[in-house]
Amino acid sequence: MIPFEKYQLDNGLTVILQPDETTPIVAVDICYLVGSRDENPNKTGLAHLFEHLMFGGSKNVLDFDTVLQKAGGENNAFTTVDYTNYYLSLPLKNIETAFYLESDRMNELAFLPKILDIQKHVVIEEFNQSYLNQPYGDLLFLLKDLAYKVHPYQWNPIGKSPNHIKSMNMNDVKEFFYTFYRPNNAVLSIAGDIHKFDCKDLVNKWFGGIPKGNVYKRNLPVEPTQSEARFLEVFRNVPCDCLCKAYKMGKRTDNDFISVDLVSDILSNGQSSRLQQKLVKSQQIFSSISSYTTGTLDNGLFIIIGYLNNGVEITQADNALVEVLNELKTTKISEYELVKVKNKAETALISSEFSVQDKAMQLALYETIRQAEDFNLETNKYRSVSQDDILNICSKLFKAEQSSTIYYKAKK
Amino acid sequence: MTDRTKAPLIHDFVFLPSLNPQRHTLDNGIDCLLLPNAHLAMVQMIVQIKAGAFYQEKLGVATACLKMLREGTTSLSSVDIAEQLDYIGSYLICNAGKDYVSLHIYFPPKATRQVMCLLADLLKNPTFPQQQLDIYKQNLKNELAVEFEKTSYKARCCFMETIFDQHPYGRILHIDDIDHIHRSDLEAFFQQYYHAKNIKIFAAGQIDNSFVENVEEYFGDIVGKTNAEPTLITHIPQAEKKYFEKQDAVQSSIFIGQRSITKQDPDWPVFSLASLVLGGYFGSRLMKNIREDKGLAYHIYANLHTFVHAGMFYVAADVNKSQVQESVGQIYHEMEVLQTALMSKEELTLVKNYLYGSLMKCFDGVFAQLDLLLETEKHNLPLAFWANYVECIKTMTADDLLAGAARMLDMDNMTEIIVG
Repeated sequence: MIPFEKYQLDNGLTVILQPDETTPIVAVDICYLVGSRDENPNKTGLAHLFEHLMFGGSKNVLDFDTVLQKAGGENNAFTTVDYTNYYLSLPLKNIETAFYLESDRMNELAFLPKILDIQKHVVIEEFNQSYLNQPYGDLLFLLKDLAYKVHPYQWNPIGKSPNHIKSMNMNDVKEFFYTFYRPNNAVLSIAGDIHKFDCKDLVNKWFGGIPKGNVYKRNLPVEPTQSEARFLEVFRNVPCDCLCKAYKMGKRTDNDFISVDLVSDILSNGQSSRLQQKLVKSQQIFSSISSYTTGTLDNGLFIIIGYLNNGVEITQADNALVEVLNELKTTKISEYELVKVKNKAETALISSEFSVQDKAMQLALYETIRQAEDFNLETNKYRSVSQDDILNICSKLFKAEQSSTIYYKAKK
Repeated sequence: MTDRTKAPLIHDFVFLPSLNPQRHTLDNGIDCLLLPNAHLAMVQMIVQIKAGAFYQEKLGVATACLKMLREGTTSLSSVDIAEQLDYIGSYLICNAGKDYVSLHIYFPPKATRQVMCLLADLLKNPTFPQQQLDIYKQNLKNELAVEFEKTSYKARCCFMETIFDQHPYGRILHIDDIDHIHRSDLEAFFQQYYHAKNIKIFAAGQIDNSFVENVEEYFGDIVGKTNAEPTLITHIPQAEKKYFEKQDAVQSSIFIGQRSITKQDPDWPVFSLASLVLGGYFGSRLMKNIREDKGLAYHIYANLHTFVHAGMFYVAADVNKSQVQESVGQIYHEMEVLQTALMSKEELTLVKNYLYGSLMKCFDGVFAQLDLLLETEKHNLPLAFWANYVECIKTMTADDLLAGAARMLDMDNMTEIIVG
């Protein structure tokens, strides 16, 4: 449970204040509702490239990092398909420096051609380091492309290819900034001993004068309902075969999302989970296997990825996995098992409340997704899921015609 | 209207860290260090055992011994243990390091007794079931096969093998070694090292007086005996330059560095600051030069990594294959600049403030403090170590850093590993 106060500035910026007098530092988090789903399909990777540019100078601040580090702070950011989140922390005394820095880059970037040029190189090396130079690094690219035919979740935030990043120009960047990086499209969340300052006055001083932008009307292509199972087989230079399966699921904000999330816990959260016990320990088909939900604002994917033991046929692995999923569709899980996964989920939720950085971020993300208040309701939502809910959601979720399967095989 | 051209004043600050855990020593010698905070609805507990890879004779035994603790005891099967841990809503992580291994668990406070009972069982009565060991070995082979496909993993391993050579820190597990791990090795290793004198218990969060009583009840009967410390190998091998071509790699991984000191060494503060300046934070010289100025890499960093008995200093990066020479040249260039050019007052202030700020972050709640406490105890440092460190940093001058960098970096003896 995180107590907080929420209000809005005249320019539409949502502000969340979370008092915590036990910590010497303060955390400031800003989340913009823009992600790779808002990109042009022929210029993918812009939202993430843009995140890099946010550190490359604003109108009055040449070097964001240097000023922040001088004030004893550190920061980072990440870009998802739906939103872009910037977070920093620093000694409470220097909180105004954080506001000055964040508000200046929200107000107006410097748009320096040299910075764009260099960050394009940096991002291409990030593309290489995180994906192209990693074993199985292209797996999720193949999967998204197979599962989505029209929706922009077809590509990952890093972009479809380094060529798209190379092709970005300053006009793309400016247009992106003035469309999305406006106060009315952002949430500012602050956690720390903020009662020691006139926090609201300072927020107003630095953020209040930033002009409001036009309200962005998102008009994304709707992914048509999938009606037959999709399949792809590839051969790569990797040590062992990998099986990847994705089922279509709903939105993060749907009422049944919590049930779907618990299904992924039943399958792979902890050593006693079903995939671990059945397929790794008993049948010894996989050396490791896990499942997760993408939990996105538009319809997402329930993804299962497993690495096969040598000598196991991938079709056999596929059948064994489907059998575990089918069991969830036909047999109600026990009360014991449901309590178990709820207990684990609760621990995980509580664990996201310990550092001020986490608290500020959680509230900002929940507000971006729908409303910050949801964070404090989450535990009860998990508690209220029933055995029947799990049975029902599994029947809806694990349909062969809604699946995309990849056999990612080792070249012999 | 706010005048944006006027930056707010940056307040100078120094942060003096102060760690004050409650300490209880059980009759059998187990030290118990606690950081209570009644407002947190969680407990983190760490059982640390001086039984890392440093002490093993055969590769892979120390890690396997630890990982197999949760796979069966005289009264509980692997599944029983997994079910119990999950049902109480806990997360158990088995960390195997070079010097220490640890069972790191977090759980809701109401499960405290159960967790202790279970952990104590793992520590006192493991059976190392053969079937579970076979599964562990098989999965480990697959995991390592994937790891060694990564240029960065291969480069790191090769770097450590080269600079440490026959020293236990330089002995790296390869796939072929796994077949040689036997159940009897684990039993023997367990007998020799898992006893009270080698165990420390740490906990933070919602802990009350009964916590210590519980620790006494469950861990108080673990026998204490002493084992001889292995002889230290002090020989330092020749620096080497090694290149491994990987045809399908898009990038090359670079590791450049050498053996270095431990945290016990009086030079550690100045070396740590020098390493920070060179590549220890986002605004470091290497990041500015290689990433922000030339766009050669996504990430480049320097690290002074200290084990208990030795340390290592290195610079690491993944760069485009065609830009390896340029990047390597710039890395040496920055090392030389660090040794030859006096740092500006501005940079010195900045890096000191950054360091105070990072230390302050270690005091954002008891769980953050726990990590710092663990590090302190691991290296047998006094609790005042971090405050002394800050005092030392406060008075450090640009001249001190120049001299420190000269002692830290022996430019004629840099090991250089490139994979990709």
